[in-house]
Amino acid sequence: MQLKLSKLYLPKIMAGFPSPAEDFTELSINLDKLLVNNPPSTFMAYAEGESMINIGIHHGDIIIIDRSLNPQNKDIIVAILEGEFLIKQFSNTENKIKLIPHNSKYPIIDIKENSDFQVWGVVVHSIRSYR
Amino acid sequence: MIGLADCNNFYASCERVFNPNLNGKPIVVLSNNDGCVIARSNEAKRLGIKMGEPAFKSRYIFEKHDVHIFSTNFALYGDFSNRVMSILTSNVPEIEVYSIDEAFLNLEGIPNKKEFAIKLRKKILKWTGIPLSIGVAPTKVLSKMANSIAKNQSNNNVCILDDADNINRRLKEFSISKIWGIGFQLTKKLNSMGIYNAYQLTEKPDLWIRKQMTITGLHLVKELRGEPCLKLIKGWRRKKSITTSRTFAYGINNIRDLSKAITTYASMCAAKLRKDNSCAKSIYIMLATDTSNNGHKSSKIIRLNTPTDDSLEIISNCNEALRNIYNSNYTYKRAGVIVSDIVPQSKVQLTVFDKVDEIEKRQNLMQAIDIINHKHGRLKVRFAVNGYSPRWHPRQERLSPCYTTQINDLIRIKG
Repeated sequence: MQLKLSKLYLPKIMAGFPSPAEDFTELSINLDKLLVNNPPSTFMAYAEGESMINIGIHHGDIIIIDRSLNPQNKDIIVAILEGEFLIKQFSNTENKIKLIPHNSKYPIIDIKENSDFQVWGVVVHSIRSYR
Repeated sequence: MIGLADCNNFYASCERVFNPNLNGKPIVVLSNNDGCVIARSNEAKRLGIKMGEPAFKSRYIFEKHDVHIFSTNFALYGDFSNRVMSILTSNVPEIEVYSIDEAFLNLEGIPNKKEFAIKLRKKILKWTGIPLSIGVAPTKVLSKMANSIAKNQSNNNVCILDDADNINRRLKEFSISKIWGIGFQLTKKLNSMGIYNAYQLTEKPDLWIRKQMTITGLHLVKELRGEPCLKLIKGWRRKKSITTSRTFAYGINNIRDLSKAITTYASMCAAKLRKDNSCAKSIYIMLATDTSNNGHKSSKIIRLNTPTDDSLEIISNCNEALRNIYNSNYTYKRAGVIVSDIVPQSKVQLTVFDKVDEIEKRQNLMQAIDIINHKHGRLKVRFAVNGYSPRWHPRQERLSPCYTTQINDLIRIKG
């Protein structure tokens, strides 16, 4: 949806001297551009629980997921394991896939040959609000 | 060469992206008001559930086979449609968006079409989670046929028809009822003349076809012969009309509740017009009683002097028309608003009677409403006549969250 925000919020300059800054006007910084590299493959979700707190993903944070990326070793990913969504760190060394939590209270998950496992997307950003 | 990309069981596939548990399980999607089956997953098709079947008729099958039932979630399907279409657009020279889940692709200049189609299909599945089939052939009608062959392939859902022998062989196996643009009546008529498959049709002389099937039919048969007649309609089609209508959960026999419903539909039509940067010159309102026992229908058309996308103007016209056609002796079960004679907003010519600054003020108000509703959910800001009473609202008991369009509906994932 294209919303014409400018029409609402920009004050109308009626007359008088032109602003000396006018020639230097640039587009404002666009958070969308910063956080969403590939719109058709980008999805958002709320993180729940505590298993990733030591890497900085807390309960209630919004995570931004890009499905177009191929997971590299150490990427944070959203996976589907036995039909359930999970956020974990992806580890792929010596042909062994593991899902690593970042909280010592949680176990490392070994992905076995016969596991029902799929990478849903790669987490590229997380957003936390402080108030 | 023309490609036709068509999403597989699109609505069911959208529901699955955020519900991986539903893979391999039967899913149906019900129409507005949860009345009829309007989409099925392959598993549901295999159970013999028919398209358009009233939901209550299949209740036994639903329960017995643990069929997952959803109300239509157009916000979700629309968002996935935009994603798929935007990937298609950036990968081929041009596309024609034919429906929410289908697009024709111009594949001129693409060297290895089979490899290209397989890659494109894989990319869309990975990026969005939506599986699709791609049929490629020399014409639009043949690409439709190629697509339906692709759909029935279990391995890669891609079918390329490029040599004449192969096309002819496929035409012989293709029943005329499945040809794009040939409906039930025409199939019956042609069957009675001994024509059953597409190949037989291509062998008839042009004059005969024109006589039996008009010029449209002749174009269709020429396309079956591999001779392009139908061009790609570039870009997005501007809609010819926008309809918002619903069946109520209960019958309504007072004008106040009807007015709330009509006002809501009018606001929704106006918001859709603004989203498309369009204005409408005609407004049509419709009321109907239960159609099962000799239903009564009444309607009224309003023609405006200047095309508009203004909610207030559309609402007040609808309510005036409602007072004209409302009859207190009836209990109404259905109502709707249709806006038509649609023109691009940029082409609207004001008449001398229009007050320009009034219109600009209104436009700003409408934009503010759209922005707030986009942020906080549909109809959060509304006109007092919309009302709050949910009584006339359609039943949507099994609506999935709007995972991709409402911030509060985002999926929650355990860390």
